[in-house]
Formats: sequence, C-alpha cells, structure tokens
Amino acid sequence: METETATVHWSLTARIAFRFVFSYFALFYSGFLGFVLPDRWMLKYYELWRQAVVWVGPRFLGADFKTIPGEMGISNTPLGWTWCLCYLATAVAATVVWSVLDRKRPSYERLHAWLRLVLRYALAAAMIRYGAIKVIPTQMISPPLGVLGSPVGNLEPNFLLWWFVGSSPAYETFTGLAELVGGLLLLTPRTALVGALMSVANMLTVFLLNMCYDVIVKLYSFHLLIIALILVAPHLRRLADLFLFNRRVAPAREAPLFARPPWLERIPQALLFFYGLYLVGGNFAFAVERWEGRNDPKSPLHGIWSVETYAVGGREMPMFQDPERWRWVTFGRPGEMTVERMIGSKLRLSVDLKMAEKTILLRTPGGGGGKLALTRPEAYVLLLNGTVDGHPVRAKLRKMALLGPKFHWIVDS
Amino acid sequence: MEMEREMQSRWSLAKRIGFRFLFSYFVLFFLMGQEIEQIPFLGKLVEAYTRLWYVIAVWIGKNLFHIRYEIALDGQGSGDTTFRWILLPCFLVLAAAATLLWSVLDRKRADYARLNQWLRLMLRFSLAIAMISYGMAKVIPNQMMSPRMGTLTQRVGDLSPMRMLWTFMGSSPAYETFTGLAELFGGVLLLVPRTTLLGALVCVADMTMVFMLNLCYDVPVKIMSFHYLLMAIILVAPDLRRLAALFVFNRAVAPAPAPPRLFARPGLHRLDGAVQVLLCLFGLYSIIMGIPSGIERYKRQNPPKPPLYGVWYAEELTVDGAEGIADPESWRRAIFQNPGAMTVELVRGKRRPYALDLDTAAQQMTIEQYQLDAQGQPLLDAAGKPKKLPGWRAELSYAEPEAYVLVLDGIVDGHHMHAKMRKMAAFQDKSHWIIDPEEE
Repeated sequence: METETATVHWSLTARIAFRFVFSYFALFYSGFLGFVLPDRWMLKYYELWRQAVVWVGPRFLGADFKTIPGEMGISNTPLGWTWCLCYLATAVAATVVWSVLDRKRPSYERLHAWLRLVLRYALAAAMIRYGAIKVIPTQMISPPLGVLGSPVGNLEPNFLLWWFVGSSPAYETFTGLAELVGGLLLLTPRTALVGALMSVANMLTVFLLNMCYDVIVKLYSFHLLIIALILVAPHLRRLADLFLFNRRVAPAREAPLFARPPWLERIPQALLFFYGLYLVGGNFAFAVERWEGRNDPKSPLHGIWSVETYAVGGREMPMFQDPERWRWVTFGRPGEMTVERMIGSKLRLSVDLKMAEKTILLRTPGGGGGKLALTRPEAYVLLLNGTVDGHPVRAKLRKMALLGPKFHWIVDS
Repeated sequence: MEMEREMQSRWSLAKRIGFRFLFSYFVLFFLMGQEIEQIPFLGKLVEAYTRLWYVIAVWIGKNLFHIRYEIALDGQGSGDTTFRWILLPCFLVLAAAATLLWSVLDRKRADYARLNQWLRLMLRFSLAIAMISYGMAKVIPNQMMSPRMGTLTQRVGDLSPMRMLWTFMGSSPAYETFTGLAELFGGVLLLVPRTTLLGALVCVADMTMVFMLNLCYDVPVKIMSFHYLLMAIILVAPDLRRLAALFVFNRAVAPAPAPPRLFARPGLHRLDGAVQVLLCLFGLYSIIMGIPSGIERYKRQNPPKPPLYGVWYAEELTVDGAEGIADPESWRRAIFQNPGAMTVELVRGKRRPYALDLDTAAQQMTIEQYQLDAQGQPLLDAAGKPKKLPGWRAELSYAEPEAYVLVLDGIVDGHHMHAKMRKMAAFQDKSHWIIDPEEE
C-alpha cells in the first residue's frame, strides 16, 4: 500500500529551497564521485574549478590572492572563500534554470531521500573522524614543556583552546565520545534523527568555539552544522508536537530511494552502515598509531619544577634578589636537565638519574660536575642536596600546578 | 478514560519503594540547597537549619569518621567541603531509614502519583533556579573574568587545572555568553509544565558537560553538579518510553496524559494553576533581578581601560647607548593595567609598582617610584596617599610606530633609555576570517 505513491505536493518555496540545497551540496560533495570515477577525471574536474575560481577572484571580488600550491576546495584561505562564493553563485544559477525547466514537478521526494542519504554519510564520516581522534586523545595533545614554560598571555586564542582541551585527556575523550556517538547514530535510518540532533548540539558548540577562539576551520564546521540542521528540518513538526504541543506524533515516513522492489531500499542503507563501521575502524587505527607515535622517551622526573627555596653554601637566596638564583628546573628527555636562572639565562646539564640510589650525577657545560641527593617527601615535591661545580647547593622544587595533583574529592575553602 | 486507567494502575513494589527513597532524599537535599534560600523570608530559617546540620555533621565527623582537622561551615566558593561530604552519607542513611518506616506504615497504598507531582515541582524549582542563576552569571560574562595581568604573565604550567578552565572561558566573553544562554534556555523551559521535558533534556546535556568539566578540571562543585544532573535525569525518566518510541522505534507517540492534580480536594483545583504560575513568575523574577546586579558587577570587574593597556615586552633596549637587554636591572616587561599606575618587571624577575602620569596629547609619560616597605607594599603618608621616592624620576616619550609596537625614549633615573617593546599576544586584537597563506 505504501508503494502506491500518492502524489505529494510541495509548496513553491519548498521546491525552490530544495533545488538550491541540492545543487549546492552536489557541488560541495562532488568529490564523492571519486568513489566511482577514476582519480584522473576528478583531478581534471577540480583543476577546471580552480582555474575558474582564480579567474573570478580578482575580477569580481577584487581579491588578488596568492594561493598555496595544490590548494583545492573550500577553506578559510582567500582561495577557499572565493571557491565557496563560486559554488553559491553556481547553485543559485542552477536553481533558476532548474526552476524554469522543471516547473511542473510537484515534489522531489525521491531525490530528497538520496540527498539525505549522502548528507548522512558526509556528516557521519566527519563526526566519526573527529570523534575517533579525540576518544584516543591525539587531536589536542597535552601541552609540551615549551608551552608550559611560556607565559599564558603569549597564547593566541586557538592555542589557548588547544592546550585547554589537551591538558585533560579525560575531557577530550568525553567530547570525542559525544561526536562519535552522534556519528554512529547517523548510520541507521531509525536513529538518524537523534544522531542529527546530537550533531546539531556538537557542531553548534564546535562552530562557536571556532568563531570565539579563532580556529581556522570556521567555514567547514559551519557546513557541518547546516547539514545537521537540514537532516533535522523535516522532523521539526513532529518534534514540536512532542515537546511543545503535547499532540499525538505520527511515525516518520521516509520516501523510498527506488520506485520498485522494496528490498532494493536496504542496499544503499546497508552500504552506508557498513562503510560507516569501516570508517570507525580506519579512524581508530589512525588515532592509535598517532597515540603510539607521540611518545618521546621521557625523564623519570619529566616536567617543569619551580624552585621554591634555594641555598648556596648554606646561604638562602630569596626570590628576585640574585639574578643567578635558580628559578626553574626542567627535566625533558632522559639525561637532560635544564636550569633557568632568575635572569632568564639557562644552564643545560647532562645528567645521570639514578632513581634507585636517589642520586643525580651531573656534568656542566664548562666541564665541571656534581652530585645531588634526591628525595621526594611528597608526590610533587623534590628536594635536591649536594654540590654543583664545587658549590654546596640545596633546593626545594615543586612541580608546576598544571602537572600537579589533578583531582581533589574534598576542597575546604 | 486512558488517563483514569493510568491513575488507577497500581505501582509495582519496586517503584513504590524507589519513589519513597527518592522523595525522602531529595527533600533532605532541597532543604539544604542554595535554591530554597532564594525564596523571600526563608533565608533565616534555612540558615538556622543549616547550622543544626553543621553541629550534627561536626559530631559525626569527629566521632565516626575520626576527622582531626577543623570542619568549616563555609566553603568560600567550594561546594565540596568536608561538611558537605559528611552530609551525603547522613542523607542517604536517613532517606533509607525513612523509606523503611514509610514502606511499613504505608504498605497498602497503590501509588504516589499525586506526591510525585510535588516531587517534580520541587525538582523543577531547584533545577530551574540553579540553571537560571548559573546561566545569568555567564550571559553577562561575570562568572569567569577575562584573565588579569597576573594570570597572563604567569607561565602556562603555573595554572592549576581549574584556573586553566577559568582562563580559557574568561578569555572569550562571547563563548561564555553562549554557554550561559544554553543554561538559561534549559532553566526557562523548566518553568512551564508543557516544556518541562524539553527543558530537562537541555539540562541533561548542559549538566553532563558541566559535571565532566568539574571532574576533569578539578572544580570543587562536583557534588552539586552531580545532583543537578540527577535531577534533570529524574525529570526526563517518566517520558523515556515516549522518547524511545519517537527516536528509536519510529512508532506513533501518544500525547502525555494529564498529570494528577497537586491538590486532591475539588475546591482547591484552582490552586494547581496558581502554583505553576507562581513558579513561572519566580523564575522570571530571578532573571530580571539578575540583570542590573549582573551589569553592575560587570562594570566593576571590567573598568575602562587606560591608554597603552596591556603587557609589553622589551625586544630591544639600550641604556646610555649600551646593550641592556640582558642586564639584570633593566626592564623586561612594562604592564599598564590601571589608570595612573604601571608595573615594571626587571630582567631579574622583580616587579615594582610605579606612579604614572600619561600625557596622551604630547605622547609623554612621567614615572615616579613609590617608597616600599619590607613586604614590597607602598608606604603611605599622613593623608593615606602612597609616598614617592624623592629624586627618582623618569621622563619618557612614547610612540606606536606600528600596531602592537611601543617605542620608549627618554631619561630614567638619570640614564638615557631607549626601548622597543611588543604587546603580548593576548592583547592583540586579531580575528582571522581569512587566513593569509603567506603567514602560514
């Protein structure tokens, strides 16, 4: 009975809007043709677009831009912005022509179903990709020592966002899960609506983060947000019935992709589903590889330590008085120890950390040496006591706050 | 008819016991919450009740948990104090005992449909007021201030996880406003019975995020944010089946049946509506009251910025013509935060406050040094004004030949100083709609 296609009539606005959205995203995702067409053809196709874009920029936009070799498609570079405007203009032109030639068609039910399938795939692929590299926290890495040692105010906004997320792998994994789950739910027609709603919430946050912290993927994240909204749009009335009007909500009826045998429906849906799972596998494999490749060998005392007290020859040296006083001690790679003095100059030592014997044997660049006894009265405190270049040195070091204790159940004031 | 059947159907034993426990626990929690205090005329009563629990908690802490240290009543911003942690097991045990007693005495009752409406009203009130007050504190971006000079000149690693979160949020007022709107939206929707489900879902999303942030960045509001999340989940729970019908099974969803009235007696039916209107009005009242105080706090936290506002680094510096960039006593940073004052950080790390007289028309600055005590605080004269150091004086001309560059030239304490300084990234007003490929 359902196959008995009662002609559905769309309003004129809906038809025109559909033609535009379809044309624009057909251009935006024309790269998907690469699944079936040879790479040669695809390269030629993009090269034509590129020439058109480079031609349009100076003539119509007054944009005399330089391009990066091999740069293609929409991005936040001058070429990318022009490219986006070219697609928009082309989509408008296509909509006009299409609306004239095809003015008698009552609706685009089937084409709409195909558009939704493609957009679901595109959005799911992006959500899974961004999700996987956050679940295995490798998109934002924890701030390296060079960053920890530089002033907060030197961070440009996008770096502040990056190191903020990177400093808590647990939080990064959580945000990754939110993206990944949204992406996975988009893979089956049943759960596509809740997946699209989760994607709206996720992409709205991501887009606003990109805008507020000046991250360079503003245009792309905006496209993903729009796609999620397009997927939700046909269900808005049903959502309003449930959440606002407390009316009976009818089940959703998706238009079929094919005119004839119903079993044919399942093939593209199944392809989408299994290709989505394949993407999960591929992206996680990539993320795991990045995770394993990230680890340089580290000193057992790895981190930057603030020198809280410092005495030479038994004489305490208060902070700020003596330019030669130790201010920071950094342990980076094994065998390296860097001392930064009050004045900012650095002393690079090569060290032999004997953790079992709790001693540090060190050699100074001038050919001198020394030996420091090492005790750790608390997890984040280090006491050094010994001689450096013949001078008796005693210091109390504390690990930088961001490398210090990460969780407190109880906080009294 | 369907509605009547629903009302008559007997709750399962587990559901009845579960309800008794939830009701008891959240009443105890509600009476100690921050939201009930906001009801006019209840403040004093709640304070006395809190003091009573404080005495009990101190006794239990000392005798049961063998806590040696002083247990404070006030957390000064922390919600995860020893006192609040002791209350948790107290409330759990008390709620369990109440459940037991209630289950024995009231074993014949078929359901708690009406009492459930009261529980929901209480949860909606608590959660809505919490979401509104946290939301308003972010919509007018006050909760996280834009980072001060002290923070910006610190090293990244010196930020504790919580300060990292605060610095991150504070540095984009626009983003803070957005997160505030997300909270306010959830809270406002909870005020109306019709939109409670949507509001509760928004609150689940918001509070999951907040709770995770509190766990991951060690913010001491873990207990409260977890309870707000629980409240939102409890409010969503009765509609889970309908949500699954829509979102998972693609089945028709029947409208939600009309809930039982808050008051059983027919003569009091009108009060039902009145209670809902009251809740709504109270929510709107707290939003409106939050606006002027929020604006006032914003103005206080963000006074007008003086000229040259920011932190400037010495890139090139000469004293009497000789290279001075590595001299322990020469300038490393100049900090302009408040009008009439500046701070100089020397190469050896020491910071000193100075009095500043800026003539913007002539592009001239006159700097005088304060007399400091042993702690580095300015000494005050009889009139309460800081005393200046006689004989020390700097007269400098300044120019900004290009964006974010400051050139100083003049006499500092009898020596000729010339410096080229660059503004810290945090004070550079850059936004990249378009990326310049040559810069990358």
